[in-house]
Amino acid sequence: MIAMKRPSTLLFSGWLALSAPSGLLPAQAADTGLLGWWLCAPNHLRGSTLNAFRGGLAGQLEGGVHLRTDDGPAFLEFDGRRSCLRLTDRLEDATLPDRALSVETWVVVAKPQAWGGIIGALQDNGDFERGWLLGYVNNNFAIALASEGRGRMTYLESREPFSPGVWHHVVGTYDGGWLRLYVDGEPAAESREQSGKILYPPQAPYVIGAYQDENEFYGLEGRIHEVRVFSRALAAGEIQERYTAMRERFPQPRPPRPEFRALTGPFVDWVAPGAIEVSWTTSGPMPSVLEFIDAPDRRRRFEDATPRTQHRFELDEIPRDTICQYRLMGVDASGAPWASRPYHFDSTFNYLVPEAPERPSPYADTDWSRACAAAAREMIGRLGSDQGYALVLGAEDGCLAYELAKQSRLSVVVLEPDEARVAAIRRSLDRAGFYGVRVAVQRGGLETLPYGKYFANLLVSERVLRTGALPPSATEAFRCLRPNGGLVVMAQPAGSGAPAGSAGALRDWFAAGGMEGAQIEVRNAPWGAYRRPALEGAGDWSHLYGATDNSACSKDDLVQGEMGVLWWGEPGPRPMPDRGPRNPSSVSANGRLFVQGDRVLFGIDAYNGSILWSTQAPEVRRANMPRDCSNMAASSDYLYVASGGTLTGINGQTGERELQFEVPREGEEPAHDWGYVGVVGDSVVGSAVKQGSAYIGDDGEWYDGAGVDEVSVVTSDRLFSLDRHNGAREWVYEGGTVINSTITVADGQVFFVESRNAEAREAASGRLHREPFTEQALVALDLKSGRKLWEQSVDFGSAERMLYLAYGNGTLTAVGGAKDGYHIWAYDVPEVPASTDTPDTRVLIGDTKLWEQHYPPARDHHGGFIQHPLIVGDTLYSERRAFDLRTGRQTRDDLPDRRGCGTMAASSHSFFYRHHFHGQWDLDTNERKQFEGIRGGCWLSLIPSGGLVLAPETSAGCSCTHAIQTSVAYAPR
Amino acid sequence: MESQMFLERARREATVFGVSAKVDRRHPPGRWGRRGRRLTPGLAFGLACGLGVGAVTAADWPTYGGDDARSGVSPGTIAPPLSQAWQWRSPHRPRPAWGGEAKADLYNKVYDMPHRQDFDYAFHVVAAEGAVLFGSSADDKVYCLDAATGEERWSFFTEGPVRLAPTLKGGRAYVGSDDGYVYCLRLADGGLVWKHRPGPRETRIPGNGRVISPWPVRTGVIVRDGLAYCGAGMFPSEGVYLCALDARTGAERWKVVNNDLPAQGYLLASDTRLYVPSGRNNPVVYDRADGSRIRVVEGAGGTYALLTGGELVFGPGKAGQLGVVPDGESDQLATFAGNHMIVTPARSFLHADNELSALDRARYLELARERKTVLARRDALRKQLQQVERAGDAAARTRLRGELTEVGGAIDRLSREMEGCVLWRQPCRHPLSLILAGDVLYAGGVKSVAAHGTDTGEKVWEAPVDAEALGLAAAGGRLFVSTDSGVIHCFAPPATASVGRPAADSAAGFLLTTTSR
Repeated sequence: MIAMKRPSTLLFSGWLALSAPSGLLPAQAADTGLLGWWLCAPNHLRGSTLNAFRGGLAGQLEGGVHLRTDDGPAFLEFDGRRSCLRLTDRLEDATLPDRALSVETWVVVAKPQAWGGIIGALQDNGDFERGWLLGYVNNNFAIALASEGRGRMTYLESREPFSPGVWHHVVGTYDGGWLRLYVDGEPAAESREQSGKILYPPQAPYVIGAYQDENEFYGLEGRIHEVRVFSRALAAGEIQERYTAMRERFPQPRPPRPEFRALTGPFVDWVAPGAIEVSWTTSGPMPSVLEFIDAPDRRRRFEDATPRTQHRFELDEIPRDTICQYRLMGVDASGAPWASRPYHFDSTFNYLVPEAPERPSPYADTDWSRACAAAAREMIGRLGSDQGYALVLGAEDGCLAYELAKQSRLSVVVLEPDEARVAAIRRSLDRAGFYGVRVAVQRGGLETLPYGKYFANLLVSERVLRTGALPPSATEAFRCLRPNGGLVVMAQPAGSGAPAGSAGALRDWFAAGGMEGAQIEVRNAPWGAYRRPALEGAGDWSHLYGATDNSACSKDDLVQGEMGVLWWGEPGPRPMPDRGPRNPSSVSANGRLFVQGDRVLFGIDAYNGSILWSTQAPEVRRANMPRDCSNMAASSDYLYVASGGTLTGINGQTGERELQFEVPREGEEPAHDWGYVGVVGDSVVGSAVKQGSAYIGDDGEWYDGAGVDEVSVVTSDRLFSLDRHNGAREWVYEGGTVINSTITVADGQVFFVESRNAEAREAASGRLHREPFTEQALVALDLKSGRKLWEQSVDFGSAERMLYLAYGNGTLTAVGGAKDGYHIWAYDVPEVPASTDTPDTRVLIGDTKLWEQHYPPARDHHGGFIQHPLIVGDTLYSERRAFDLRTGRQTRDDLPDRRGCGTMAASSHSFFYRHHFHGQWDLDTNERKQFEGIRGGCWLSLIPSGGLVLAPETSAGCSCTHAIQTSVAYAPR
Repeated sequence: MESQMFLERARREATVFGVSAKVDRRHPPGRWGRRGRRLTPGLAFGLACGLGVGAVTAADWPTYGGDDARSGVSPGTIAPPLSQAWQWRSPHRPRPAWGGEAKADLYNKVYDMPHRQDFDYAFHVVAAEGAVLFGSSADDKVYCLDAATGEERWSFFTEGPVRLAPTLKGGRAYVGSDDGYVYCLRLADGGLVWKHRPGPRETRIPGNGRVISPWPVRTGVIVRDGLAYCGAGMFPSEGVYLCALDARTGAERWKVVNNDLPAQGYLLASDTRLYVPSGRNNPVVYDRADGSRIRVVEGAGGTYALLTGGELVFGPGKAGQLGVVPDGESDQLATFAGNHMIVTPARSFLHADNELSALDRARYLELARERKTVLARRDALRKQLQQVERAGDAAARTRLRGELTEVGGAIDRLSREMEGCVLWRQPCRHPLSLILAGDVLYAGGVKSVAAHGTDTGEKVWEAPVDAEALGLAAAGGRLFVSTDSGVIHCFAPPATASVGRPAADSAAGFLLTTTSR
């Protein structure tokens, strides 16, 4: 035994009967050489300290590890991330075996991994290998040990794999010569590579529930009931006896009870500083129960006995910067309570406008201040929103700015040339507690405005209100005005004390700024208002690949040439999913940007970055887009988001969840999840996916390889169309098994690839590997009626890595990826018959294939096999090459190098993608540019939309040293 | 269904399903967090040079970290126990630019990555001539308080958030703002002496939730040899400007533009070099004479940095580590786990999440040099071994393996001896900030601040503060503590603590409490 420290005093010995199951007692007689025994039971746990049952150091629980007593012997459950039971970081504090050892445990490994630890004290850094570990390598238990005789470690793995999720008895022994491993009482492996004393590092952590050395940490996802460390090698017979004595106490695995899932939600929204609302819906009426933990010693329970389908609780006193846990309680078919899985709420994600302190107005109650209050009220009312930025051009005493801030959530910027007036206004607003956080006053001339373009949601003038003197440059005002609804109001309301201005002058002012169609009203004094429309030539990026045509092109004619930063800000990396798992792209329409974070949704003003709303939605998550489809799409008024079996329509401006549609059910069939989301006109096209088929991507998956777990495609059993305003069913199509990544809507038709393979149809999961790539058909439905327009047999079986459809100019292209490269097939799309009222019949047509191309990939990593095609005009772009859409003639092979893992997005004139950083390729000039210091994620992270390039933060978990992690928008300079 | 019955059953069904966790976006708990961060003897610890440059008097703390090296050292002892003399509260919490790193790098299984650009989570103070100054990221002002009473002497509005502390020199205060300007103010009354915009033009756009310059000044200002140095710029594609200004007039002496890295974090300066942190990336070294770039140092990024003579120490990198880069080199000589470091000629103090420790520098460096030699020998043997294994020379292979085993033993011995250079370790529950005032270490923690003696490291004093103590400064016999709630606490020995008067209902700050002697 190494004399590092005297063995710890026996702790809590009086509780032996409580903590030791009876089955343990026979073994105690054989506890000779026991150095430490950690029994994971309630009576050994004090706060976050687990005292050793015998010998050994007390351990500290770290991270997501919890004691559970609900199923057989008590155990610690480790979450597989940063959790462990830390005994010490200094080996000299521990009593460790010296010349021989045994390490015994009862353990459940829920998830195999390359390097797993149950208990260990080691350093394994290149050639420096010291110490020992009982753990697992993939799905084989293992003991690792370094001795003086060899100087390096032997990793001795069991011959047979273990069963994940099942209790196992594992023992590793070393007697100074033989290293042995036993699993469930039986010898599992042995080695004679080691000899002599155990070789320890000078320093190493001694931990249970993780593999940790100086520079690596791999947490156990699973359970540990007990761990014992001996200074001798237990004999095989002893081990068998120990196993036999205990095995009956550990329950056999049972099918997990399904967890309660709300029909929609839960959603958690900030409603006031320190206050949130938790809401969800259920398919049938039931009481509302919510449990919420926001501090280790504070667990709150909210109940409402009234049966209802809409459930809602408001919670206050939410602590700052805290990850809270909560769960919902539903009711099962028998009426019994039924708990949801635990959800997290992170209170750092609070994007409410900061509140000013409660202080009296700095402005005396006068006609003027009342006029300002009334004017602000009307301006905000006319704007139709109270968020974003207000720009006040020319000020008197700041009262209008104060009222605008006080009556809304607008951030107000005042520009005023007079120094003394600026100083006075700052003092007033500072006294009110508004300065800085709600209102800023900047000194500058009004002729040329010192601001970037597009940022002002509301543009007004206090000077006009008071004196009628209009700002000198209407052109400049217009330049700063937000497209898609930004409002200029030049107002002289009655009672303001302003001299009556000239309506004609006002009209001329608007006209001079190019603000055609401004509304001029004359009350006691004239009002002029102008609402800026969308930028002419701008496009939207409303779906994963731009539009439902999957062209990956927004058709935006404005986004081109040199681009400069328009705004930057939230969301940053913290609420975002890690970059790797090929996440859904953001979408944008009508001047709004919608970002899907890691179970957090954002509505953002695309032109100034203001966060309009955010909601934490723990059930909203999807990944591996090359093998599935996105769960969200945007229209001019709504963001549609699918989770579970429902589609929620979220008001794009307010964040209110106003619409809720369910997947149409047919008879008594099992419920389906909502797969595809496509918004076209007044319809939303959806698909029904077998429950639980979608990829989630929570565990660092990269989906870059060719394994079954990566390339299996998510499929739908059914397509349907609903009225997107009220959910009324328009049609349902049920044929073969539809590959989600191929669903394409364009020119009044719905295209997809389906398989008629019966095994695919009958499979329990909708995530399938090879079945959907047999017995394939390319199908077109009429968008309006769902009637099948045509189909033709196809064979895309070689597209083993991915398969996409994209449409442009009457041509439907299928692009597949495989080990040998890219495969492209292009089809002519027949015109839709004029009549769509004929019965649904199979319309088998001949092969309309125009051309096909096959070529090797540029590389086999970082998305080398899975690039999505782009269609810009008459050209199809596919990984590094371009083809004439109608003829298939290759027109260029000089597409820019794409080092990064993402795929490309296009406007009509430029491509955007991740190279080392954000990258741009100008189609017109062939120039390539990088925006250094900032990178995107590993799918489609820059979207050209609304005359801008929008790049929400998507690099997230990249621990690389990219200097900037922020959301940013670029605009043509 | 009987709803009430359901609720009763649901109550019985309820079991503990977890606990909440506090999020610290600057030093999150996790892989390396919330446990003792200790010296790692497996790595060389390269503290080869002496104290930081730019010695200051005990009366002053004229710039962030106390000097241009950001050493965190004040020569004057402030002997505990201390009493709170006053505290000043901003009506608004600090409004940091950046909200923290991602929750996890799942690909590399790195969780709870530390915040690499957390320079503005408190109103860090500087002090000189009986005044305490700081900038506000909430209301855009520079504040000057009376150091003795906490009463506001003056304030000055910039046109954007002021995220980094001013620098005081020659009766003037130099400060940068997100509005894109560097300001020079009279210390006496806050009057504007000059202002200068390093960026190319006068324009403002939404940035970090405010309408600010695309070239915000987020480096602080270093004043040395009559020049005021600062950086401005966020996005390299827009240009990032570094300039030296005449400290008296604001006239530009030189200016360089960079197109690869931003300038974010407190500048550092030596006699010849200027060190510019670049946010999440690594600091860049420039020639102070003309702004020519010398190198970008290697490392894992971060804006915490100090100079120990010619060596640059910076972090926290990806996992809460400080890297040491020797003068004239780009590569890191060593890394070690910790939050802060204080270096004196004889000792170094390392501040970890749960521990404060002192190191015998001379002995440690001697061993580190020896160890470096042995490591080089090991590397050479490995190469030889590879060659003979390829050649199939069994005898040579046996000999080399034997030598490698001996070398391994020597490395182990040296590592143990280096570990023995730790003079003391003490538990420390104040991991958020650290300074040295004479022979007392002051450490900031959650809702309290503590003092430790340098001889044994034992805690000798502790006092409550209102929130997380992220900023510490020592001047004029007083300790100033800045918290993440926007409060400045002033502590002083009871014999010298002044009786302050409640401030008038001023525009922003409020003097909340005073303590009589």
